[in-house]
Amino acid sequence: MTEVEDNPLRVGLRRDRGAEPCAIVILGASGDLTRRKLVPALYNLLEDRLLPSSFAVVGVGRREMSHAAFASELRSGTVEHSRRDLDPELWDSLAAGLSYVAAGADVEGYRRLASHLDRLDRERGTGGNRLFYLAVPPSALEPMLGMLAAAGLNRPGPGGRFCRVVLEKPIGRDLPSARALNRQVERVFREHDVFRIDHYLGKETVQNLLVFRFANSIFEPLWNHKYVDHVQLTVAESLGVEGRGRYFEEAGMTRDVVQNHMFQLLCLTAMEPPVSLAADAIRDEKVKVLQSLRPVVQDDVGGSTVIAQYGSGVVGGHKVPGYHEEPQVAPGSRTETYAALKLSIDNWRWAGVPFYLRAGKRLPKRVTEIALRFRGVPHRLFEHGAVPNTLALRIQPDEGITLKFETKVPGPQPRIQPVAMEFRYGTSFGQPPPEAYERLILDAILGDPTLFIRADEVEASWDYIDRLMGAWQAGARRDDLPRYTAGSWGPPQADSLLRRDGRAWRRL
Amino acid sequence: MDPAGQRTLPSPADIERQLAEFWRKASTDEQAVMRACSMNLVVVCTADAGDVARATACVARIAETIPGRSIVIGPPRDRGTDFEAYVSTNCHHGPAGAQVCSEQVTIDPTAHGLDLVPGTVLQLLVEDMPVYTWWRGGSLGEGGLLDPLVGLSDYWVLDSALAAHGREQLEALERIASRPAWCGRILDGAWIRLEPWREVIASFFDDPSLRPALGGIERLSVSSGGPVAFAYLAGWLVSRLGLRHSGGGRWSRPDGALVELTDSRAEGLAAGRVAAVRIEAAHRDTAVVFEAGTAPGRPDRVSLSVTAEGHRLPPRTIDLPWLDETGLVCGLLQRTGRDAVFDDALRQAVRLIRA
Repeated sequence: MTEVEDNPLRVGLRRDRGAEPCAIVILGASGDLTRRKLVPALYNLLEDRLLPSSFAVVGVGRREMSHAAFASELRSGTVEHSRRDLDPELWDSLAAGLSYVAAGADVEGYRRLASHLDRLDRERGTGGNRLFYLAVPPSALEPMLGMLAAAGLNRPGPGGRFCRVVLEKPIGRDLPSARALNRQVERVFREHDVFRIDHYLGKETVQNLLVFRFANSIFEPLWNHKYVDHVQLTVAESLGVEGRGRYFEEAGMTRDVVQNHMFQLLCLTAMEPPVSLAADAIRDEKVKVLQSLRPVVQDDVGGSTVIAQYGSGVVGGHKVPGYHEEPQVAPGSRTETYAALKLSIDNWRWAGVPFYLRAGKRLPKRVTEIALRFRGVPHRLFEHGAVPNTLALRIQPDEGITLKFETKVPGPQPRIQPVAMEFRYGTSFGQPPPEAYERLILDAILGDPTLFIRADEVEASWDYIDRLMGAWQAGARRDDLPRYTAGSWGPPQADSLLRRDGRAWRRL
Repeated sequence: MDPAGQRTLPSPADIERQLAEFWRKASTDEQAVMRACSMNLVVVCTADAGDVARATACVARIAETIPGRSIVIGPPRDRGTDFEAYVSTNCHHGPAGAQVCSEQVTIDPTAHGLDLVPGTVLQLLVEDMPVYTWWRGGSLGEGGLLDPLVGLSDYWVLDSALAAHGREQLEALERIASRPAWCGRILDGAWIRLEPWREVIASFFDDPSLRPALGGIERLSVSSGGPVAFAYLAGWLVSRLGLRHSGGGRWSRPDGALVELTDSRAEGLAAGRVAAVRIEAAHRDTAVVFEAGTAPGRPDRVSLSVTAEGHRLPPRTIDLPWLDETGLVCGLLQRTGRDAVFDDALRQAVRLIRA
């Protein structure tokens, strides 16, 4: 890649670097992700004037389809899923650059794609730059990477400066498969051109974690074992498997949520301050957290983890079936829909501070939260109360930060009562945040990998999860999978996990 | 707008007491009211008495996005007591149904009581929160409230495109910006409204193959609704590209070649709006033309095109939304820190209008 001087007109604007012309190629374009997330995100980027001055979007799928039919399908998806109403004239501007190429299991289709991209470079000024978005099932990733390489699509086109690839989670289903996929990707693309998405990292509130920790001097001195008693991370979903029974049967809650979303939240909560905001500086610190996780010990897996499966119940006033009654779920399935873990981070900062993680489907409400429970006062002056302070960072919904502390109830008696000091995004910043995919697609176009996951991060998290799942299997815990009622906060065993330590889950 | 507490209050201490009383009464066991404050907004109404009502309506909408304490200063009355003030609250339902309220203090002075205003404002500011002073229209003449209010402000907010004499307004702004002891920052709506246009112009040169054309710019033509928009856009380009003033109305590139800057008025276009920008440049011995222009009857819709080496790339359509007064001020109030690009552009804009 030839170095070109920065654009001096960008200084002081919303983005100090503009997006270079490029063709965005969506492989697996007929899938749900394209119409629900990717194209609505591109439309909103266009409306926000953040797309490159010259660009094209090419859909690639197995079935034959005309450009017009493809554009029409995406238009209806955008109408349905965009956060803004669709403006027909602006849509037409996007649609003018939409096209479709059918490519099956042979390399011929990919060669046609290569010719098509070369033509777009000439006609639409896309400059030989390529961004491939692999919106395909995990099983299709490796063959597709091979096809791209065979057709010479792993290099920029004539005059181009970049050729990048975006991979959707899951990256593998265990450490060996993740490693194999990473090695396959490395053979085709350079690591700095690979963008592994975890859409949680595109959320404004997740990004705010770094700002909160490292732009405020009052919290960081408390952010360690001296002051923090324990940390709770919750990713609760009120939904069930929603027609994704087949996928979920293979994944389970641990692979689907804990290995990626929760471990990313854990890393951002526990990491040391990076030396800079450079992508690798941040990702280096995240990897260190994963490497510091105390390995699972077979004897203790029962005492430090709980997995469970939901039965029927009532969520949000509606009766819902149990997991076994969901479509595409095997009758005797032992796939976990709930996981609670007690993790220890063996480093200087977090020695002796347990991190309790819980993630589940069909819980009473949808909420993602990180809560730090601080230690109590060293000497109790007041007879009643004195509940330890809690700092809660709400990721979704109703994003914000709450600090709970004790105050005196007015009156002659020394009564104290906890109060919450709240900051809510919606109160202080009126504008709605962009969708996570908008931010992530834009960053991939700009070549900024900060909010994407590096190969070693993926492998470090799978390393832990593999050991954990291995211990579960060896301990035959799945033969004794507890049930919880849909609409409850999980099985009683999860409460016991904390009660044994003299603690309790936060009531959310 | 809650009209509660609309009685005249003679001193800052009375005003604070009245506000405290409001908060005490507003929260009940069943329904807590959330007080949110992220700034002090001082609003100076310099037009007619009706401007206070318009400003108050605008402040109420701003409070939904950026809560804070607002102090609205009415234009000086001719008669009556020297100084009157009353408090009110702006409440709306925030996230999860909580009621979120901001405070407003309205100060209504006579011309004779104007001297009391700055000291009162100073006492009413919420501690340790930034102070934005919004100067609504009117000339930035010397004296009166201008000097003391600039002194206590972290941000001086106005829309210079709305002033009757935009050129003089820019000169006055530069004088404020260059006050040696002032650490504040100017937030000019006229400048912020041009941000989408600056992004459009910058986007032409995001393509590395076209970026060298920046060094070969020969002509900039701007068609706009008033002189301020042209002055800011041209001033920005002059400062970012390091063009030098060569005397009179002439500017030259670092390589010595002259650059022509052309300003034309678009009929019937609001001051501050831009209708079209055209940049002509020489690049690799061929002409490159960058054009951005609004569609007829659609001042928000802009078509962009680049013609290079005789080949015209497919034009693009984008929206450059025009912010209403509330949207504009909200946008301004979310700016923090110094904007060196603006400071440079203002300096060059004033040079341009003097030339």
